[in-house]
Amino acid sequence: MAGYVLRRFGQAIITIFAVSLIVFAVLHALPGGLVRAQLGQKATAVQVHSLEVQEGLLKPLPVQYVTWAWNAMRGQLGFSYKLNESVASLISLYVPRTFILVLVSLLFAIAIAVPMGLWQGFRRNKGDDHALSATMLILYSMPTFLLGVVLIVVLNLWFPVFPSTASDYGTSLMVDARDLALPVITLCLANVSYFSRYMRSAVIDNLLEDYVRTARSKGATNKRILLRHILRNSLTSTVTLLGLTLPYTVSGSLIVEALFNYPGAGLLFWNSAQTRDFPVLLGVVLIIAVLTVLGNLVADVLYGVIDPRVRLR
Amino acid sequence: MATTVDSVPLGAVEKDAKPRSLLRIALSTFVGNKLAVISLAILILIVLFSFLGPLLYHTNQTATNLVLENQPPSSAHILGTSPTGKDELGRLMLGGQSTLELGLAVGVLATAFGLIWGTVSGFVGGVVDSIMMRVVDAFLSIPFLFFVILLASIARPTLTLIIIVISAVSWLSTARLVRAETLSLRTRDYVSASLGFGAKGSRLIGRHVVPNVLGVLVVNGTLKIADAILTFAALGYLGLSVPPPATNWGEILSGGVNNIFDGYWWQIWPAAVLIVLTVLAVNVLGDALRDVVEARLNQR
Amino acid sequence: MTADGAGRDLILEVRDLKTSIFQSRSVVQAVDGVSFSVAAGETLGIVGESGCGKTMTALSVLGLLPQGGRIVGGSIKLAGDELVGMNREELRKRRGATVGMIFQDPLTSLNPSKTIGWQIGESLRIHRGASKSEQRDRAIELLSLVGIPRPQERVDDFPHQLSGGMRQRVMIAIALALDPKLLIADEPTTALDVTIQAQILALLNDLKDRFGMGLVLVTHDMGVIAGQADRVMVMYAGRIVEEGTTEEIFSSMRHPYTQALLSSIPRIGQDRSIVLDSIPGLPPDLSDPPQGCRFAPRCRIAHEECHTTDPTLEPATATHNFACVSPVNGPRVMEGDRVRLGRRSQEEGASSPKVLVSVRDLSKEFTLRSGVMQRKVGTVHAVSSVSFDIYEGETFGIVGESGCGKTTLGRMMVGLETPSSGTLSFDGVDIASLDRKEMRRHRRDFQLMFQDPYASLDPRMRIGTSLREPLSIQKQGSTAEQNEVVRNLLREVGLRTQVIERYPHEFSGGQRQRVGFARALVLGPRLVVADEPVSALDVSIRSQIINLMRQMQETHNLTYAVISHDLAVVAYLADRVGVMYLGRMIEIGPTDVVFSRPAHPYTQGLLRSVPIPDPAVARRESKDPAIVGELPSPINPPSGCHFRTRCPMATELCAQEAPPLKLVEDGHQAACHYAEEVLGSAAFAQEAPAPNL
Repeated sequence: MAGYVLRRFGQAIITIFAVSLIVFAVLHALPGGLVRAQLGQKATAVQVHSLEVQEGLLKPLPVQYVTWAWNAMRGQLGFSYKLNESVASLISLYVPRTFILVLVSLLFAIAIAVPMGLWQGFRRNKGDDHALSATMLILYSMPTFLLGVVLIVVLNLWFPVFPSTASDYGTSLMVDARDLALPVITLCLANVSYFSRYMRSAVIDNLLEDYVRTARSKGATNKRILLRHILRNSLTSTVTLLGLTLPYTVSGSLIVEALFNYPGAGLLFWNSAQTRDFPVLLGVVLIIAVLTVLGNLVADVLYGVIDPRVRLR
Repeated sequence: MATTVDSVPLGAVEKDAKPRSLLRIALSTFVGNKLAVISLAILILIVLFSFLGPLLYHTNQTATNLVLENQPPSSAHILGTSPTGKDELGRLMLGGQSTLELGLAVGVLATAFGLIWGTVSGFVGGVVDSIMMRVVDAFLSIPFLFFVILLASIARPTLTLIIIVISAVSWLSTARLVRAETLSLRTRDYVSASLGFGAKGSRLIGRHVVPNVLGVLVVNGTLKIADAILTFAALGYLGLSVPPPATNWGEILSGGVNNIFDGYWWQIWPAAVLIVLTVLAVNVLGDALRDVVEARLNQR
Repeated sequence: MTADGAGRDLILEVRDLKTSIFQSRSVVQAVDGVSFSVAAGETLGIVGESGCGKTMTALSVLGLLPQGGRIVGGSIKLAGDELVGMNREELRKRRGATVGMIFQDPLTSLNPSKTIGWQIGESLRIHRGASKSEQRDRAIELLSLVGIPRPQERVDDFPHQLSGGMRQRVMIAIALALDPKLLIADEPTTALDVTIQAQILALLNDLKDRFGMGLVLVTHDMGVIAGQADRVMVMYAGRIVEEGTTEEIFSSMRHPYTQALLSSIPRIGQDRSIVLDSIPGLPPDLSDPPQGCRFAPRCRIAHEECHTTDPTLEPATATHNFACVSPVNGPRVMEGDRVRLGRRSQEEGASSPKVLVSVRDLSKEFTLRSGVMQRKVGTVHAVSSVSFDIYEGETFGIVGESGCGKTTLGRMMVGLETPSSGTLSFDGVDIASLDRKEMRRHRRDFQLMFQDPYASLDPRMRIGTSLREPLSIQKQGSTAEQNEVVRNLLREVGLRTQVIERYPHEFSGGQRQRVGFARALVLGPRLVVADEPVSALDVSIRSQIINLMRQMQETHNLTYAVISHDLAVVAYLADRVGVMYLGRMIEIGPTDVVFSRPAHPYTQGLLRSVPIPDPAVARRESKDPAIVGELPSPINPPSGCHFRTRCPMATELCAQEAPPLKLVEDGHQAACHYAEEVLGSAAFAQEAPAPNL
């Protein structure tokens, strides 16, 4: 197990390094370079030159990368002239809120999708399975923001249960659970539609396995076969999916945050995109990507815990 | 004296089954799936609506007309007007054009690039493979919407640019899939056999590997189209749409969502239904194609 | 409960069982009116080719039929209780408690994410509500009962941590957990190596005697049946065609199918020049079974009446029944058809045989890598320092169990794998010295015939294109000429030329292997390396391919290297044989010499492990397995002689020094310090060849 975790950890480090290279490349692909992006189009050539010297932008690229990466590792991600705040402090305020949104909706999604997929797999091709599959396919074919709009119409307009926009939190980290409700439900449903489809087919595949026949030959009941044999073996493939879809879920959180005005990293990012606030954009992309890689690592380790063939090799 | 091995010639005993070509099996599996046929019909209707519709239903989509803003459906404007006073039905047709063009273009581009990247990575192997796959990993771990918005905010978006940007994030999983398929195909006996006849690498890829991943690739490409349409709609909603007068369904919806509390239903639901119907039809089609491909694999 | 003639209790009584599988467009009558019974302490063998309904019969008893499968008629009485029509819950309570079942593939039949202890204890939990510690104690007890060393330590292992043989022992432990009255074993040893097979069969037999269980043994292997079964039931197309005591079935069979099944099996020590019997065609489609006798279309002696009259089971003796209107009388004597043996240059008195392939100190190592830095964590010596010659026109056999390196060796011989060291020369040319272009040209001289013909044909290519591919790669001839070559070869291997328009999936296994064989011959090779050429095929098809290989060797002047785990196939085909163990060649010599006077203890044990399809011989042999223990890890093989850990004769010397191949008699080499003693001991006295069964 230790070897497996170490290997995955090594891969994650390499991926993070590659991500940083990509972000660095985008930084230099900016029209007029980072300095223009920071100072705006009206800046004079003298202003530009002095900032370039100050930021070390005239040095060779590898040196610049090392300096930039070293600063990034120390949490120095630049300064937003538009919001008049350091990127690091913006991130430390907004990213945790996104983290909560994503984590809570993923947990709910798993809690719903796993039993549902198990049930559907067991009842495959019966009426209730078809009905659930069709519903999930429609959900799956809906843009996330449309799903959110439908939820607003139902849970805010028709039955005013939850607020449709979050209140202003200022610099407070904590969020009101009621504000969280609609964003979480939206993101959760989007994931459920995906996970349950996958879980269903994993269960169906496992039901055809020889070991299920062995369990039957021992006199195991259907309930026992589903809960003691199928569940765990189907979960392994679903956990892999969890890691693979994490970037999609995080992308979905951007939409949800924009729709519900939820003050997370996605909303910050979207607002910064409209004002072309590049230090914030790059900082957020870097941190979100690193967190996604780490999330993937957690899913991989979880996979190892569930599957003894990985754990004990 | 050696005698014949078989006293009874083969084929005289065996039932002479009618040769069923792979295409015929594929076709019958597909036609057997009613949902898939319906989906195909819906897609054809949507294509006709978007491209032939404007020829029959003439609207002015260039001028903003504030007098006519937010008009409910009437005989002059069958689906009412937009917040800028343009005819909604005409806008939906225009939005359909860009959406369908983008879906197809991304499907083809992402698949082609993913195919090349994946086969090279899988076939060459070694260090090249490791590097190529780490690149894919890195791009995949940047949540794609963040990446797309970042790229789209550098340059002013046009349809071509959005196609390129969405393709740039769509080829990644295709490349992974193709690589995995290539790796497994590489160890197949028929590739070994070909190698044993003296075949070169290029022949192996061209004659054995590519034709055999094609089925999986078509399925994957179809599902990519659905994903691309969803992403395009999301970008439209976020204000990163194509330059006017062109539009997309996401953008139309976004205008309606701003007026959601005013009850302007015609600005939301027609666009919503079109998006969901298109994506649903493409997804059902993709699933049906998957069944076809798997049915072929099961013909053992 | 009723009793059988000998006064033993009848545990299972099946009467007129009919099982169908309902598919979307058709109904397959998998079992059609089968009756039999099993008494306590008795072994009933059910034998037949794949698709004959033997497994479905076994699964019907437990109600474990696959999706769409249903019992549509008849009666199954288990320990006096009627199972057909019994409610599900009552039936479930009998599974695992009154009947235990063992399946073919022990890896897929065990749950990968549960410990073996948990899986053994599960039955106790289900049927007796046993506590965790009770389950564990019983699991340990059972593990030691089925011969797993140090059960206390193994009980918490997961299936993937055990070897194939150990897994099958665990399956047996699971089946035995609640002392069932009846054990059903469906091809229990088919996935195992021959030495492990002998161990598992001995274990099953011992347990059956000890606990007085009834045993139903389902298998396609006549050798296993001969050694294990008290009574035999031969099935064909969902029906019983013949049943009787094992003696009766093997020595005085009446049904032509039983007769053909037995005379199509090659045996060690038989006259190699006699062509094997074979059954043409394929079993019928059971969704639309033919009129009359179902075997008639493939029967050698069928006449008009057979195609119209459906025969019923008639008694021959009190214990022996058969269903045939024109029965045979005992085994078929095959003598008319003969084929000239290979190695013709020697036979015809040519001065000295020409060496075609010369292998010297050939080795192949695979490096195991792990971690981010891909650092080396171990080396598998797949083939180590192997030397031998193959003469032009002969058939050289390579035998050994899985993991012995025989496949890697074969792939090196056709240039699909590069040797790590040593030389391999073909007709005097060192293959390693060739550049890429020359190598490509040389490839036409040596070809590989694959085990699985389906896998070796591109599923998307028509047969004609696949067969022409070698010619177009080598740029030989115009398309018309290529087509001509292909058509001629197809005719020669017994296929009609129209098949070039078809795809591989449209063929049966036997036809595909013919296509695969034809493709290996397209370039006109001098050497064909056949890797398990018949292992994936049914018995009757097997002999067709073997006969075809023999015939083509003569007409095309081929030299063969036949690689197989099946000693009987190699014994029949090969002029000379090499035996491999853990990457080393441990014995080489003329086939009849090596198989009758082995000079290596491993060869000796291997030969004794092979089940012989003759109850008289099988009963005389000791039931103890000839080779104990498991194959050591190839990453970390034992020092000195690799076989010493399982060898009854091993001494200190064997651990210190690896014995080299040495000449023990003319043309016979063995790698054992005590080869002369082994040879002289005559511990293994091969029976005189059975008179042409």
